[in-house]
Amino acid sequence: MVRSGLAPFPAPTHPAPTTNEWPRTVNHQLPSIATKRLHQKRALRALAVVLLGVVVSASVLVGLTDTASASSCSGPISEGEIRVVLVVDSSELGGSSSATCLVVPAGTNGVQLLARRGTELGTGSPRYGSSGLLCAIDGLPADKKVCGEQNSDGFSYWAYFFDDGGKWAYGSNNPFSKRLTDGAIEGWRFVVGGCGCGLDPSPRIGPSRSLFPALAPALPPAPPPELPPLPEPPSVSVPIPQSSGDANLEQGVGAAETGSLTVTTTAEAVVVGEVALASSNSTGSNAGRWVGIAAVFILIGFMAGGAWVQTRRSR
Amino acid sequence: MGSDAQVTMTGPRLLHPGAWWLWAVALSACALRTTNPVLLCLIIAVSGWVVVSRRADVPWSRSFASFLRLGMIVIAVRIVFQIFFGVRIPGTTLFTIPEVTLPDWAAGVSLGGPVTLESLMAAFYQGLRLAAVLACFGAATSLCSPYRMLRALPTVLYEAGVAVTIAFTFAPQAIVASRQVREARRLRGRSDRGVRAWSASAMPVLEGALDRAVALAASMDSRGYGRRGSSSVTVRRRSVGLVLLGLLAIAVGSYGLLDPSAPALFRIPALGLGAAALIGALVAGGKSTTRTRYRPDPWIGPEWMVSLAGVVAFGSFVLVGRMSDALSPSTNPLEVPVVPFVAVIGLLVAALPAWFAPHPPTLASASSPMVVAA
Repeated sequence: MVRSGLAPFPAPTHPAPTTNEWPRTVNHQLPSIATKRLHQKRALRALAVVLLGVVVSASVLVGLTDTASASSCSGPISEGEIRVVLVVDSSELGGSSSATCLVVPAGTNGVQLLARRGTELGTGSPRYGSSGLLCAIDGLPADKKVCGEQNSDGFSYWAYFFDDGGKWAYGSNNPFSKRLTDGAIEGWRFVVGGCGCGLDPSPRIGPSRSLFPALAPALPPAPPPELPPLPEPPSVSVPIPQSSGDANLEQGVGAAETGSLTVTTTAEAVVVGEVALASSNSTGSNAGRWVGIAAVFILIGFMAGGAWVQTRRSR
Repeated sequence: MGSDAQVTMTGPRLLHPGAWWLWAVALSACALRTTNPVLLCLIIAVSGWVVVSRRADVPWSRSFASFLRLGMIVIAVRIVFQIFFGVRIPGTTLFTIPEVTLPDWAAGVSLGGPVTLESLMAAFYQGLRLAAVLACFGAATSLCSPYRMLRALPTVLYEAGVAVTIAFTFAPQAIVASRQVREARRLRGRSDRGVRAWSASAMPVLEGALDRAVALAASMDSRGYGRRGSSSVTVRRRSVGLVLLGLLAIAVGSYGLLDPSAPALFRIPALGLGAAALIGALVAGGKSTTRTRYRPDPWIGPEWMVSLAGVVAFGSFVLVGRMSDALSPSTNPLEVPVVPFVAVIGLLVAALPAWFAPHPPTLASASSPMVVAA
């Protein structure tokens, strides 16, 4: 390999590795014409392979969804599950601050946790840019083109935080490769005009232990399958677990100092309905998209075929 | 500067190389503005179709296939890098490769880990975009003679003459050299395919191509190309400085135009500054330059139409980019890309030169327009 790699003219004493006789390797046509044809063929083959690759990869566009059973955050958790709290503060975007307690499998990473929260609350999955940057949580910012804007004020983006002994620490690592442990508290806050560094403001809900719902004092040997539904969730300082298995603590910006946590239920139902509507719309328009793609590829096929015919004719 | 009597609107002739380059640059600017795989494939198909329809029978006109092959290598390399070193992008995990846990100060870098469908698709889109740009460059290389392009360059660029000569002629010369080396291997009864053949011919090809480009630059220099005549030292220094400034500003400005996320200052203002500096250099140094052209290439109807076709395609992309986000389909969550109708129409307009550009002269019909003395 190395020996022949540098020698443009191999030594005549070095026999050719092929067992072919000399006349058999000589093309009866002029070598230049043969090479030209080879070039044409390979060019068209390359084009075909590129097109095929696109078609195949486009047909893989159906994603998988993982189904996970939801355990109650206040009840007992089974082996291999952990209890974590996710704080999302979108008050800069007109949203609110909320803390959600979730029971997830051990080894879950920050991104899976965020997706799980969206599924449980019915607020849809977060949106990411092609570089992997988190663009939107709960559909905020609403503009689908916006993803971590930079302007003269600084960066506007979703900043990532984690609990560091009772106070927020700026997360400079990739949430997709960060594995969560039991009792972890993670936070996301939309920062406007930040520096993209540890000085950016943290979520308005602090990472305190009280975000975890009070566990049932003594685990009963035969716990009831579901907590009895409460008639009206009162404004209390201790959150009340939902039947869906998580405690969603919504908190107004003004109420941040008082620390009173309220549970909202009606807003969620509305959001769930919207998401369902949106997803049915997108599946309906996919057929139209495929028709457009098919039309363009038929066009490309005509061009490739025409090019093939022209190169054949010009020979 | 007398125009040639043979130049006609319809008869077979070589189009002005600047027209093909404008068309190709506009197409590649379209490619740089989008990651929509459907549009990128259409760009590759359009450039290939025009090349097949209007290339002359000259050595460098076979280079399009090489550029396509290079594009496929680029896609493969991009995907392999994404798998091993790319940022871990969340999504549907296809498989997991062993992960190296890095210390906290290197938390932004990842080595190994879960490989998701979303990350692979994003890498494929970006690789395909680069492949489309390479295809546009290959189209320009196969459609026009590098020597004619050099002749058509404006006078101010003569200061950078040797570098420009080597830059413009290296790719076509490499294609010619690689054909010769491969044919030589075939004649010796050796295989011209496979890794062994490639590694054995890489060095002679590169060496040969650089030799040819340098020889061309030397021969152009010996014929007085890039000479400044009888201008004084101060005038020459001033014009050289202005040319350098202008070229730098134009490089920054064209980067700003091609990259939509660049600051606005890097776009039109930089281009304007560059153009002003080049015009200043022309005024400062051009007075003393005496130069004649032998059989200059005309710029008439077909040239306008070919370059306009490229500009129309670029305009359609700018329009679509303003109106919708169809040019950059989301890969996270993975979406079926939308095909924007306006952009497709624009690209079809860019394919029209395959019909209305003049046919290149064949060896039978023309005496010697192929071999052009520099």
